[in-house]
Amino acid sequence: MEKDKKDKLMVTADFVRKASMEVRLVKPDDFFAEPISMDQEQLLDILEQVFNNPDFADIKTIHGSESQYFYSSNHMTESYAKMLVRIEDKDLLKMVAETVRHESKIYPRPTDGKLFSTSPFSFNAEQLDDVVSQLKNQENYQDIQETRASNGAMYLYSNRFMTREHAIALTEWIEVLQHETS
Amino acid sequence: MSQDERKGFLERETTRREFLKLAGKGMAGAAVSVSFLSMLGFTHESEAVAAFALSQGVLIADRNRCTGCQRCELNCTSLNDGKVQPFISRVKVSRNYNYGVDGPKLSYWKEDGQYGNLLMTPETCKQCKDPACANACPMGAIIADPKTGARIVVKEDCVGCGSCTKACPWHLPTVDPETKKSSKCVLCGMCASNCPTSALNIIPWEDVKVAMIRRGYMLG
Amino acid sequence: MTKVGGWTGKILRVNLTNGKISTEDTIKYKDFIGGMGIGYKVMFDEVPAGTKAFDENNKIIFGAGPLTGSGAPCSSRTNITSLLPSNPYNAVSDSHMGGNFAAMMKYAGWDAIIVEGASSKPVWLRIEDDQVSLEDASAVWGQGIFKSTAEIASIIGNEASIAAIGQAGENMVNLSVIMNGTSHSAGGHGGVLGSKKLKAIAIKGTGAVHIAAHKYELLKLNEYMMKEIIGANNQHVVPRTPQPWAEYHNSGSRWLSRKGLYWGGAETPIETGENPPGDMKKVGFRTMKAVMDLGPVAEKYTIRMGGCQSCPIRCHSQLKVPHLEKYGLSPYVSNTCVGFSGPNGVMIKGVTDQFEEGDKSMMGKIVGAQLTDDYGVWCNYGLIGKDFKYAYNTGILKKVLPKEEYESIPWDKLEAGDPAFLLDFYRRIAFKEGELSHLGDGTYWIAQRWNYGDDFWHGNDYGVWSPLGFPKHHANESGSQVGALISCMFNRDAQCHSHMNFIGSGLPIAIQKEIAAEVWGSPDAIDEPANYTPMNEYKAKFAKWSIIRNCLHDSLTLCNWMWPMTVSPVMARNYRGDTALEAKFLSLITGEQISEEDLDLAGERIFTLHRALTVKQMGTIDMRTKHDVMNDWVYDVDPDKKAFTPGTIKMDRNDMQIALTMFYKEMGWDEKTGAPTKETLIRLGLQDVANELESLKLLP
Repeated sequence: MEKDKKDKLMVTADFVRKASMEVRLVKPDDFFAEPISMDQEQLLDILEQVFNNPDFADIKTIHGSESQYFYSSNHMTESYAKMLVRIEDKDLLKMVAETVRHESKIYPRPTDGKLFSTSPFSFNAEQLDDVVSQLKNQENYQDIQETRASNGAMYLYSNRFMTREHAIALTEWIEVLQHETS
Repeated sequence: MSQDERKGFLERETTRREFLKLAGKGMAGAAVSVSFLSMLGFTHESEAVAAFALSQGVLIADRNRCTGCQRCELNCTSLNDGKVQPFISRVKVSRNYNYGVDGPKLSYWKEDGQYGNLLMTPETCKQCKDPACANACPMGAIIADPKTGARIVVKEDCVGCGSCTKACPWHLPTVDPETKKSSKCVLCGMCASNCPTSALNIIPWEDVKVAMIRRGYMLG
Repeated sequence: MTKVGGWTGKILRVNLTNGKISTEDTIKYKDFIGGMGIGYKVMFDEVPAGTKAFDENNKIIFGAGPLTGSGAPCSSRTNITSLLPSNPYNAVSDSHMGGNFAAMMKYAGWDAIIVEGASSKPVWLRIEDDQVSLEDASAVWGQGIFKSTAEIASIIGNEASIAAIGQAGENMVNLSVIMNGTSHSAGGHGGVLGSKKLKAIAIKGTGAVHIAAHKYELLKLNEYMMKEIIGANNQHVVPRTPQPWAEYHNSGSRWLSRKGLYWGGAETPIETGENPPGDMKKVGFRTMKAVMDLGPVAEKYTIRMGGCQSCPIRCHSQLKVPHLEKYGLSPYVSNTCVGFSGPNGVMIKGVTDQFEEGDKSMMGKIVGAQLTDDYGVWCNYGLIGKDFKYAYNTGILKKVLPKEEYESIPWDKLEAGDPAFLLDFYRRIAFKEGELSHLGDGTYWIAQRWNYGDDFWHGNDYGVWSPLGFPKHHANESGSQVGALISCMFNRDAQCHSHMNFIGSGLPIAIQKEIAAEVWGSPDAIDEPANYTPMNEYKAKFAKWSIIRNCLHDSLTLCNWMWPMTVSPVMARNYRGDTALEAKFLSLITGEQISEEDLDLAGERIFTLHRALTVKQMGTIDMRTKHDVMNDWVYDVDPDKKAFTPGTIKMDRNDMQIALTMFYKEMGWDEKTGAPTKETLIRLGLQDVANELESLKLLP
């Protein structure tokens, strides 16, 4: 019985680890399907044991707006998992806004618009323009502002964390000046 | 040796012998064919890759990945000689760095080497079946290591005459000007484990065996 | 020197006037470690004040140090010390070249090579271990670096490492280089070798760098650095794009490797991939610099990356671009950073696409690099392009060039953005053809000759940092007053990356500030980028530490583009690097235990010696107003903004004077003038230097 239980924990954990190695988050639905094929109650029971067992300390959970997700910190950092969650949630405005706020706060830097066409993101320029114009019309995203470098590249920043002057100077530095000599 | 270790060793030896037959030249250091390499998971297109048979597995030297950092040489002598002396390194790339194996020609700018086509080759001992170095040694100081099969120099018997260097078609054994003793590759694998661009790799015999059986080169 | 590890114990002295070749004991310079330290001491002791760069009395020292050739990562760097002809006082400077030369010098048994006097006819120096001779160079005199190197190699042997000058050095062009390999060039001193008619130094070494410690100790330390500490080029420790293994990323990071980015010109393209820390066998893929320096178009032409002996980072791009053959050049080209963009700076109207869409980001740079690497022309860290731009834009060229010469220059190519313009331009520079070629004299001299106005020095467009005629090179745009101070302290652009590497590491500001507090005493040592604050003592400590480490690296020798290891890419280490790593390597290799603090003291000694040399050569103790001066644009840019407000990197005049005072205090120099005091010189073991300066009345 003990061994059986232990095996189930290992299988669950390895399932999450393998997904993380393949750069995928795991949703509860994934456990219900083949090959794990648990039901809701079994899943809750297993998960409680996993989270309490130091052997599986790398198995983490993270919440999106619609769902809970699982990943292994052996193969993925929390900040990367957060990026995937934002993508999974499919709320594009929230995804862009949260990313921009995060970068404006911690680095601090305005966010290069090209980030959103870089893996794991997959916008094209039109899609991004569309999102940016929608953001301008939403009350809870009024802090998200746009700047342009001298070569026309678009950057976004949050005025909660950065003044416009600061964002303008950093945009030009990041996009143009740091690549020039002298 | 335990029963298991013995079995493993014999299996490795068998695979190694079968590999040497496949490589077909009696010495496992020449360029290896494309199809054979693709069996091992390498998809290179030409003779850019050479393969050498070590005790733990096959040493593959991929000159497309070699960036000329020479850390293979630095690590080789650090481990085997306790000093840093690329001249006596058992894997040799710095002597090919500038103008390739053949040296500067009038057309140097398009030949091998940093001053030419930017390609350089890490060379090491081919562990010849009939080693010219051992045959030339007047003291019989080059023997086959009973465990690994590598052709090694027994330092106590070496008198530093340099016959081994001259006899080897690739001039790989090198007499250390400080100690007056010759040395050559002992198959330690240090070069491979320290190459920053994985230009030198050891494919374990276990993996080679699986690939060879799958392709029908060996019976399982 | 009694046998210790690291040093060979021997210095080679070559007198080109009388042909005498002799050996000296390195012990005399032990307190100066090696490299730059030996160079400055020889210059101070042996070269009289008032000597000019091309005088027979000038000397040039090729220095290595105890770590050179030891296999420590990034340890094959040659430090070259001599007088600098482009400096108005011909003051002392050091130039550096990576590649294989320094390591080979050690294996041949030499810690340094001192070249003095001048030969009456062209020679090259042949070193095969302890067999040293001067050979006739008449067959190669007049040839470019690539051809000369091949010809000399066919005499001395395939495996020799050869440092040479091109026609620019031979013709004593101020802006000329000494180069080994195909891209490792040291700027400013080519003409010194030219004035001595020394075409090249070729070395073969079969000996060893001995290690005092047990080999396992050294191998363990190497593995620790390779697995836990080392990042990518410039010790950037986060990848350029978001990657699952990383918490952070930064679009300016030199950790470019990712899925889908290849060494596209390899026989079978090799993916750079994701290379998290811990795997020693993939470190060399992290810095795919070709696309950073030359644009996305360069990916498919990149055969591999490359660089210096012992370095796992491989920051020099190696390309095959068939388009180059259309210019009569080899399709194979290698270089990095300003080695590409500096020569291209002469294309002041930009470059247009020449053969395919998007190649404009590449063509001018690779044509420029190929030409200048063969002629051996230096760009003055890119300022040659600005010097040219000013003369062109203000109509000076039309005025100063004789009509015939003006009309012979292919201006149409320049206007069209055609890099073929550079074929003509650099030939003129290298062979001193006509008035235009005086651009090869360097900024200070050309600005005098052609009467450049204040708008050149003090306007925003040219980036001329100092009235002494050198550009900014990680100045106030890199760490506010810290970068500004560092940029003032040498006799050319500072070439110091200690501070820049840290500031650009890619980590969030909170972590940077924590680490700053640990290393320099307070989080206030660094500011947020473009959001600066007034000067404080911790910034002075940071500036001092940065320069001292830079001097140490140029003495040990280690590459200052990588070292110091202030941070690490490893999350489990909280991104902490290991600032004691230089001392650890040195202790192991030499067998003489030295602490981080004591090693820094040696660096302080070496840098103060540089200052003493500068005082002596400029004949004044007033460093503050005669030397440590920044041009006005640094203060006057962004006229509608105040300094130390978000969005501007401008400096403030009063604040900068405070900064200098604080820095002088940190160094133990006179707080009024910035000259080394007798007390400090004695404290640092430079009694003889103090005596000399006293006799010249140059002590504060």
